[in-house]
Amino acid sequence: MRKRKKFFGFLSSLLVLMLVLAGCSGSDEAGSKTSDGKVKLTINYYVGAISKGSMDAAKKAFPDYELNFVELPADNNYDVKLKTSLNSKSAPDIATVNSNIQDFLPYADKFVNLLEYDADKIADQYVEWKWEAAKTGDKKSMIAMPLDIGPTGLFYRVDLFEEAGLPTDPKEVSNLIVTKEDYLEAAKKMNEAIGKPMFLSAVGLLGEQYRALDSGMYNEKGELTLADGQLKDAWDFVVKAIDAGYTLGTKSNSIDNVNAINEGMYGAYIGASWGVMDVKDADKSAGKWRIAKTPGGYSNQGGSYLAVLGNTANPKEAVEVVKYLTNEESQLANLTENSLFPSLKSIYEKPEMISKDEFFGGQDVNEYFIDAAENITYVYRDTRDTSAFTYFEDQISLVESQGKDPEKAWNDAVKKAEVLK
Amino acid sequence: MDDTINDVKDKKSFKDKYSKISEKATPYIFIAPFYILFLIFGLFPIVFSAILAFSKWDGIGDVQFTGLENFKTLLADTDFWLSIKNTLIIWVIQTVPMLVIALVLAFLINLSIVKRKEFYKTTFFLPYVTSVVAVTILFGLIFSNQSGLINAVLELLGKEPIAFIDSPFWIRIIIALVGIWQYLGYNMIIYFSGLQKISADYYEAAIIDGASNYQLFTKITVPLLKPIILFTVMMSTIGGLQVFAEAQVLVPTNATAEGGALTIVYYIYQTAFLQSRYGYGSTITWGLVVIILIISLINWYLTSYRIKGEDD
Amino acid sequence: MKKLSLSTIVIRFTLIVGAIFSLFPFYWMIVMASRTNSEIFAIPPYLTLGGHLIENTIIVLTETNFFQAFLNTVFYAVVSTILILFFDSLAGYTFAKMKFKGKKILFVFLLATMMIPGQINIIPQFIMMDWMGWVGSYNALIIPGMANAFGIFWIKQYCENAIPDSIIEAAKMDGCSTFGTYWRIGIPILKPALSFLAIYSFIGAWNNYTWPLIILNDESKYVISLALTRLQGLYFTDYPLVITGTLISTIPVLLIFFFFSRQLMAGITDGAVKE
Repeated sequence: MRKRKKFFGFLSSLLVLMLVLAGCSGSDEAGSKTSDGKVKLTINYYVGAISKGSMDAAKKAFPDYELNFVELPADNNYDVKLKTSLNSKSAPDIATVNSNIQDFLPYADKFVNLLEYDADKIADQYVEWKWEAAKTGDKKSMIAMPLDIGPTGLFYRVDLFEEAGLPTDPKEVSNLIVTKEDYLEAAKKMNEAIGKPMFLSAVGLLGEQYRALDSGMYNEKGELTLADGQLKDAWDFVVKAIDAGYTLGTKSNSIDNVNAINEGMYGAYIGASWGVMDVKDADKSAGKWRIAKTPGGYSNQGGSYLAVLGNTANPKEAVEVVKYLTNEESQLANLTENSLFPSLKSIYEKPEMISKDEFFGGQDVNEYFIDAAENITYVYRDTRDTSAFTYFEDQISLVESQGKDPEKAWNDAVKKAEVLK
Repeated sequence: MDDTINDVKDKKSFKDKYSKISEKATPYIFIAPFYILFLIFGLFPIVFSAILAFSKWDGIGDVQFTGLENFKTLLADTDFWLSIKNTLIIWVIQTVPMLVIALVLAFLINLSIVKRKEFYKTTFFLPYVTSVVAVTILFGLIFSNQSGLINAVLELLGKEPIAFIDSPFWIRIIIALVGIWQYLGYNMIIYFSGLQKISADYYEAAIIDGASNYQLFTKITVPLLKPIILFTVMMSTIGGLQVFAEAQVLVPTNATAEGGALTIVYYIYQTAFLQSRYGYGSTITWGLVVIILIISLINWYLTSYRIKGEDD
Repeated sequence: MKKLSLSTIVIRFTLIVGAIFSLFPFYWMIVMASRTNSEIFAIPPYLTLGGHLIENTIIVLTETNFFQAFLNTVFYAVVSTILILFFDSLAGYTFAKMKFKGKKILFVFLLATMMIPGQINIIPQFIMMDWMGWVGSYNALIIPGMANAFGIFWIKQYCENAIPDSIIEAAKMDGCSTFGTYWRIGIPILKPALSFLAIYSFIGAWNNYTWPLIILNDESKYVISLALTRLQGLYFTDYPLVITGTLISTIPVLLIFFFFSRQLMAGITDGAVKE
C-alpha cells in the first residue's frame, strides 16, 4: 500500500508540474487580433537592420495596429529560423531577408506577392537592380521590398599611395585605376616602390571580382556557367596577384585585419558603404583613408529586404507596414542612426547624404557609393550561387596559404560546384 | 530473484501476487520517462533524417526521394573522408592528454598534503562555464597570425611568427587545445567525485606499507576508478567525434577539409545549413553515426575485456 | 621527510601551473572587458586593466534587458535541472541496482541514442514543436531533455560501486518500498554524483543558445545567451561589450558551482558509512 501511495504521489506531482509548465506557455498563442480589436503584426528583424527611429515612427503612423518588433542575432541561425517558420503556424507576419534573397525566390508562394498590392507603382523610386532581385524569374511575383543596399568603392591609403608614387586625390585615383588590369598595375607599382602588398587576401580579392561579374554562376536554366568564363578570368587575375606577392594573406573579417589597417600593411580594398564603420576600428589609421570609384565595374555587397510571409492573417495591413518601413522617412532614420545606405533614389539628393568624414580626410564618403548605387546592373542569381562560389573562395585560400597548385585548385572547385544540384 | 526467495512471510496470497506484479513492473516504470520522451521527441527526428538521407531537400520545399544517389556521392566524397581524418586526429590529440592530466590532477588534489582543494577544483573547473562566444574571441586573439599573444611572444624571442590558423598542422592542435582548456576541469571533477568514493582506509593502509604517491596512483586510484575512467573515455569519444564549435569559432569562413579545420560535424553544418542541402547533410550524419558506432564497439570491447581480464 | 617535501614541491608546482593555464584566459577576458574596442586591437597588446569596465558593464545591463533575461534563464535552468536530477537518478539507480528482463538491451539502446549528433535534428525537432504548439514556449526547452542518456549513464556508473547491495537488502528487510529505498538510501549516497549532474545540467541550460534561438519568439522570454546577441551588430561588433556580457552572465554559474562544490566535497563519507 505504502508503495502505491508513494508512487501515485509521485505521478500526480509530476502531472502538476507538467500543468504548471504548460500553464506558463499557453497564454501567448499568436492571434491575428488583440483583445481590443487591434490588428497584431509581428516583425522579425536581425540586429541593426531597422533603426529605432523608424520603428517608433511606424508605431505612431499605425495607431490601430499593434506592431511587435522582434530582434534576432544576425548570424546563420537567422536564416534557419526564417526557413523553418515559412512552413509553420508560429511564423512572424513580416521578416527581414538578407541579400541572399535568391534563396527564397523558388518559394515565392510562401510569401505575399507584393505586385498584387500595387508595389509596381513605386518601383521607379528604388534602385532598379535591388528591386528586380526580389522578383521571381517570370517577373510575376515579388517577395520583398528593398530596405538598404551596400554599394562599393575603392578604399585606399593615401600615405602608401603617395610613397608608391601613385596619385592620392580620389578623382585622380578614380581616373587612373579604372579596370582590374589598372588595379594590378598599381599593385605592381606599390610593390616595387615600397615592398608592400596592395591587397588584403586572395579570398578578399576574388570576392571583389565576383561581385562585379555581370552574370551569375548559373544561367536561368539552372546550368552551371561560371559567369561564361568571367570567373576564370577573375581567378587567373587573383592567382597572378598571389604569385607576384601582392596579397598580404590576412582574412578580411579577422582581428589581424584591424591590425593590418592600423599598421598600414596593405594599400587598398573594395569595400561596401557599411565598411566605413568597420575601418574605424583601426583608429590609428585615421585620416589616411580615402574612397574612390570601384575599379573593374560597379558592385554591391549586402543590404536587406522586408518580406511579408504568406501565413499572415492580415496581408493588406502587413504590406502597408512594409511600405512604410521602406519609405523615405524610415530609410532616412536608418541612414542617420544605423548608417544603412538607402535603396530609395530620392534620398541621394538629400543633405543627410553628404557625409564629410574626418577619418577620410574630410572627404564626402558617399559620393562614389551613390555613383555605384545608380549604376549597378541587375544580375540573375541562382539559389546555389553563393554555395558554388564559396568553393572557389575555399580553393583560392588554399592556393594562397598552402601553395596548392592553382590549376588543381580550380579543377577541384569546379568538381565540387558540379555536385550541387 | 523473487522466485528464489520462498520464505517470504507475508500471509494474504492476493496481496502477495499483486505486490509481485507491481514489483516486476517497478523498474520499468522507473526507467520509463527516458524511453517515453525518446519515443515522442527523439524517434521522429531520426526517422526524418533517415528519410532525408535518401532524398534531396532544401529546408523549405518538398522532400524529393533520390534513392542511393547521396550515398554514392558520399563514398566518392574526398571531403567526407578528409574531414573524418581531421576529426580523428583532433580527437586523439585532445582526449588522451586531457584525460591523463585530469586524472593526475584529481589524484594530486585529493592528496592529504594538498591544501586549498576548493580553490584548485574551482579554478580548473572555471573554463567549463564559459560560453562559445567568449572562447571564440579569446583564442582568436591569442593565436591570430600577426597580432596574437603567442606570436608576439615568439617575436620577442626573435623567432618567426607562425600562421597558426592557416596551417593544417597547427589548426588541429589549437582546436584540440581549446577543448582541453574547456573540458580538463570537467573531467577532473568527474574523477575527483569518483575518488571521493574510494575509502581513505585503502590509502592509509598503503601508506603504512610505505607506498609512494606514484604507487598509490597506479595501484589504488587507477584500478578503483576504472568504471569512471571508462565513462569519461566513452563520453570523450562521443563528444570528440562531434567536435564542431571550436573549429567553427576559430575558422568561421572558408574552412576546408584540406586546411585541417573542417571536422565532420562542421562539414554537416556547412552542407545542411550553409548550402541548404539537408538531404546530403543527413547522409553525412549517418556516415558519422556508423563510424562512432564502430569506434564505440571497439572501445567497449577492449575496455570491458581488459577490465575482466585483470580483475577476475 | 626530505623526500616528502620534494614531492610536495613538485605537486604544488604542477597544480599552480595548471591553475595559471586555467585562469590566464579569464584574466585576459577581464582586461578586454575593461578596454574600448580600438584598445583591444593594439599591438603590442595591453596586459593590464583599462578604465572602461564599469562603463561597459552599465551598457551591457541596459542594452540587453539583462534582468528579465536573467530571471528567465534562472527559471529555465532551475526547472530543467531539478527534473533531470530526479528522472536521471531514478533511472540510473534502477539500471545499477535492480534486476529486470531486457536491462542490457535497454541500456545499450540508451547509450546508442547519445551517438546521434544533435545539429541535424534541429529542423525535424522544430517541425514537431510546431505540431505540438510549443514554439515560443519553455516546454520545448525543458520537457524533451528532462530525462537524458548522459545523466542516466553517469548515475548508473556511480551507483554501481557506491551503494553496496547489502544496504539495499537491509532496507528492504526494514520494510522500505523500492521507491523508498531509492529515495532514502540511494539519494543521500548519490549526493556527489548528483551535485555534478546538477552543475552539468545547469551550465548546459545556462549556455544553451541555438535551440532557444530557434524556439523562442518573444523577447520577454529571451534567455541570457539570446539577450547577449543584441551586442553583436549587423556589420559591426563591439568586442569589449560582448566579452563584458559573457563575464557577467558567467557569474551566476560560478555562484552555483561554489554552492554545489561544497556538496561535492562533503561526499560519500557522511552518507554511506552511517547507513
